[in-house]
Amino acid sequence: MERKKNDHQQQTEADKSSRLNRRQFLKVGSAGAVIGAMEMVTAPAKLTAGTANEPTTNDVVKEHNNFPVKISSDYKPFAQKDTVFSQAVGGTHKTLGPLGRTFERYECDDSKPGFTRIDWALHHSTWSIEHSATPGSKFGMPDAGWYGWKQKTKKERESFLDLNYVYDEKYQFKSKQEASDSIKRAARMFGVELVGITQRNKKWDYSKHYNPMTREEISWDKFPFEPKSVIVLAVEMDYESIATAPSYTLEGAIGEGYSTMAVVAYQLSVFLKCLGYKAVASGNDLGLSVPYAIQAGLGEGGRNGLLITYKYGPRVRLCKIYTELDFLEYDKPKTFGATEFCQRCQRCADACPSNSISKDLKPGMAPTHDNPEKWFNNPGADKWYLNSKTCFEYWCKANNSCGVCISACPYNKPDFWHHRMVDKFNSLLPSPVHSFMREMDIAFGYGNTFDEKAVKKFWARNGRKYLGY
Amino acid sequence: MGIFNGIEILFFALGVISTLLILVLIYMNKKYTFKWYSWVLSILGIFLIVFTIGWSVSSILEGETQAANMGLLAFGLPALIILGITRKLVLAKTQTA
Repeated sequence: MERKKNDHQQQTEADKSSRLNRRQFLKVGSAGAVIGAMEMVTAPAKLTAGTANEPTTNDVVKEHNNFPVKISSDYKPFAQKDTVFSQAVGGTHKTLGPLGRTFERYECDDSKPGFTRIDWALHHSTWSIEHSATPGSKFGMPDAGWYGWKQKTKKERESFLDLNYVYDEKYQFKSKQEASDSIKRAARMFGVELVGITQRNKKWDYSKHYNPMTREEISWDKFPFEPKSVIVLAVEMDYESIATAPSYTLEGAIGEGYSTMAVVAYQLSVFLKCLGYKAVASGNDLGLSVPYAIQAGLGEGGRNGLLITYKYGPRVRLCKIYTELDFLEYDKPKTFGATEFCQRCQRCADACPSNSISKDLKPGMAPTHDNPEKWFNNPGADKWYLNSKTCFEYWCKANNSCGVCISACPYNKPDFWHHRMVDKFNSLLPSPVHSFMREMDIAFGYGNTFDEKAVKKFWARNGRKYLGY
Repeated sequence: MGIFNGIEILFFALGVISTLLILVLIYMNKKYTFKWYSWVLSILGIFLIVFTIGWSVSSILEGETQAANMGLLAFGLPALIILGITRKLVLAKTQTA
């Protein structure tokens, strides 16, 4: 009886203590709920247009007041005539001219994954908007179609359906932030998530434009206005398609990227014109897209000569809008350790089928490749210089835009939590560990090239089920 | 998959698994009374188990089976070893007591 009483007493005390625990639990739960509610209240503010580059605004990412790449004092703007595309398409180079004519020849092999008639159809269909809307822009043709320079007035409209004209009255933004936020929000609406706004920098503009079809150099004096700002857009390319590099299937991602560039850059230029500001959309013409994108805070320059963005790595295409509007909040350049990672990684250089990518440990101020021709490189920037001539020669031989350096890059991953986590570790870890991370990337099966399985995955009935739908 | 996609189900499941493992830990502590190092090791082991499930299922959703298998090897195996060591430490302490 006594024992039962003791047991009961113990039980009551245990109950009391468990009730106390429950109360504490409720307190902790309530605190959590309050924090959650506060987060919900502040979340919409965080999702405003000002955070279009949201993944690049945390402590792993460092903002810079100046251009984060060393530029020599005698750096000169590049002449568009000296690009490989200009020389090949214009036929002014004795070997590249005839070779360039063989590019995109109709050549299918139904027994070879990635080069079948279906892959060819994908290749051409994705490029179709770019070819129709901005003919020749892929090799830098200036003033082409939707990338046209003419700033029509209301009176000069072709019909009431023509919306591409500059409104008479300029809209006055209340603040620079409002102006930049509006542009970024509109760009997101058009389908581009990575948007950067920066000042026009004549260093990155071509010293003269070049029309390869007429072999005519065009001065900036012919440009319809004095640009003050440049809006840079990074268009994501399809991951599964890029994974098939090099192939016609890969060309689908490239073509789709170019076609999307034409659409979004054109739409954003019309957006600015509707607000009364002159604007010209641009693809590969007008200026060098990579330094402009670095200056606009979209990413860093990689060993492969491409922009490495925080979110998509090098799997982006860049387009720009030159505008006279300068009442804007400019973005600052941002770095997250990609260039440091490139020093130890070199996966793109190892994978490059034409050995066009430098294997030097550190970047330099001038090209170090062994090609005696260097007219296509513009020295004076601290970077890895590409042998663009052998790169383009391989394109012509393989009859597609290759893309191996994009596919092999460890920064080229789908937007999944675990990849973003590894990217953050790479930013925080010291350089010697980057070699280990490169080996892990290989061991985990990423960045394969010449992979026929990737082509099968691309065309598989269910495809890759991102997010598991 | 109906209303929810794979990654949503994954993170819900990870929440459930974490809760269950923590409850097991609390139960084990009541039964054997953990030393501080047992706490550290068991929490590390549980974290690695949850992380392994997250990594490997995410990789499967991506279609990267090699990455999923490597995840099991690189994170799952150390997790099992750590939890095995913890169990041994806890049981050894109980037996000596």
